Amino acid sequence: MNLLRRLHRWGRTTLLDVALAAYAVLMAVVWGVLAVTTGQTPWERGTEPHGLLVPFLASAALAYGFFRVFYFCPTEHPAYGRWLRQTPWRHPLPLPLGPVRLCPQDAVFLALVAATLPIDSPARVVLPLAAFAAGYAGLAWRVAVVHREHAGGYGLPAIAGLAVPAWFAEGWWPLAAVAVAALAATQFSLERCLSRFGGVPPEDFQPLFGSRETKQAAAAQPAAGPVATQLLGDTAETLWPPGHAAATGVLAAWLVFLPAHQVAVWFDGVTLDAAVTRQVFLSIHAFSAIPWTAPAVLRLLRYFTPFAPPISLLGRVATGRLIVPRFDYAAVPVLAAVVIGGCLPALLVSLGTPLGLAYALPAGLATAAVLGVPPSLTDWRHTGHHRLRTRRA
Amino acid sequence: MIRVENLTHHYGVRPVLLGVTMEIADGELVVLLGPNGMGKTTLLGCLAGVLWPHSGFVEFDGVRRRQSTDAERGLRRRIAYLPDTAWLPPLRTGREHLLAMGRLYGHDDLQLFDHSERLLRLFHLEERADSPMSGYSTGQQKKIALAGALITEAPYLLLDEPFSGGLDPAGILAMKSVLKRLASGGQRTIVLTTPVPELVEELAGRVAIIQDGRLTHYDTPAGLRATAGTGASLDDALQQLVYPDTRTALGDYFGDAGRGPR
Repeated sequence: MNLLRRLHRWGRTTLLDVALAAYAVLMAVVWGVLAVTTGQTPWERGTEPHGLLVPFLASAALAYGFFRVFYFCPTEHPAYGRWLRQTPWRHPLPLPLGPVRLCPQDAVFLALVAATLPIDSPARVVLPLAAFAAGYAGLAWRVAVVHREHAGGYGLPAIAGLAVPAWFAEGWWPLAAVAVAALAATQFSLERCLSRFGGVPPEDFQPLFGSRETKQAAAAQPAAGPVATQLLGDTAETLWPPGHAAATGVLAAWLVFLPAHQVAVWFDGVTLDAAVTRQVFLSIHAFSAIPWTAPAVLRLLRYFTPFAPPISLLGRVATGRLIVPRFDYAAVPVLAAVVIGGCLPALLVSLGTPLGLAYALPAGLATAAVLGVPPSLTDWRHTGHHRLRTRRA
Repeated sequence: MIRVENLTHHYGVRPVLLGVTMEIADGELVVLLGPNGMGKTTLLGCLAGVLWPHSGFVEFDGVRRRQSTDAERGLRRRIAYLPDTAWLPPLRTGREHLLAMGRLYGHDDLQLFDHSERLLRLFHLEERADSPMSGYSTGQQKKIALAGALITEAPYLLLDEPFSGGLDPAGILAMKSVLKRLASGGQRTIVLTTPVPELVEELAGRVAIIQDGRLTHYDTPAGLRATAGTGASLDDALQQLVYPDTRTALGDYFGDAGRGPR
């Protein structure tokens, strides 16, 4: 009895009773549904992953990984973080609510999930591990971005991209290696974030005016600001510093390269029907445009929504001033991105460049251009030949 | 020793503390007293380092708050601050919380097991000790928060309204006795706030009365009685010094001036 109590206390370090109870209930429901609908009992194992149970268990591991950062990391838990800032805690002392770094209890949970997976292959171990790593590293990436921890901010997506070739590689071990690498990088990144945690409590940064609720809401904000601000830069500015724009371009190129290269490997030496080939190229093209189209649209909205052009399109035609350089130059980086990202891949493919590079290079260049090429919003506000809107539209 | 020098603090444009200067000797128990919204909690927040005053400073044993990272960390290890509504992790048990608090202040586990057990007994929390704190009543949450401050064994205890928040008579008695014992032994320097004068006489070595952000009186209970000139009762003296308008307002309400009750 005493041993059981000790085991319970040991497990509660990260495996809270509520979470375990929820897991047990869900497991019972899923097994019950399986037993009724398919007649399969929990102890019947097949060689093929079961359609319903595998995603369910992988989701449980993913949720647990997410929870490990969400609940135990003081930067993600505002009330806990505010309280902790008032205590003598400093990195690397143990966190009072429980460890955010990996611990033996995590292995026990993953073993529990693996034990209930009805698969007789290494996937039984690798799938829960990969799902846990996705949840754990996914939220840790947000922590890294908010706290400007660049090793994690750039490193974690770069490692996550490797999951694509690993998933399609022969055997489960490449995926396991990516999961382990992601977990190691997450540890490193979280440790760096925690080493910066502490210091001045955020209550000091109260707005001068406003209701008590407004001040409390402001105090509850993380010191570094919301993710959108971190990703898009200060609301008054749209340009990223050149180093970060370039690094994000490289990251975008890497994340486009991996799947594009994978497609090239699949179709190497295979003769395809022209329609199928066209479909494949269009899909890769659309995928490679994702990294730069979203920031391009946001940039256009930021620049052109608050300011009216000197003349309308009809007016330009009527006056013969089709281009107004000091107004239109704000769109040049976006136009450049469209040309580079939209047209360059086809040119490079026709020149015989390997498929991965042909899509990755333009995607990286276009992303860097959208994020980092002037004019900045501040310059545009002060020098653009636009009309200032004096009334709300 | 705690030294507060010319402390001034504003919320927005509203002044809350105005030129507060005081000294608190080692082993002293000081009660900050005053009407609601007059700056007691703000003063305690400045002492605890969670607020930074607009002018003036706070020193503990000659070390100013927030002067360097190492000095500030050293101070935090010697100061336990309990705000009025303390945050408690809802999914953790009371015992786990006490052990975590003790570990934060560098105490070893064996010592903490013993101390936490004694504290749980003192506050009648043994039965709930291993239940998640989300199930605690308001009074039980207050008790576990107070126990969390006591388990730190920090030389400086800063307690914001420790007797409010649903504490039952047994809890009030336990807390009063513990604070008296700690202060009388000269082991701890304790600063606490309360809006209730009745608790002061038994506890306070000195009483600081804050009104409209100013330190209007700072004296021993005997000194305050003498200042008020009201004879033997400290309650009467405090009512006169802290709430001088209340008696007039009561008379007004009950129509002593000839109007009848409204």
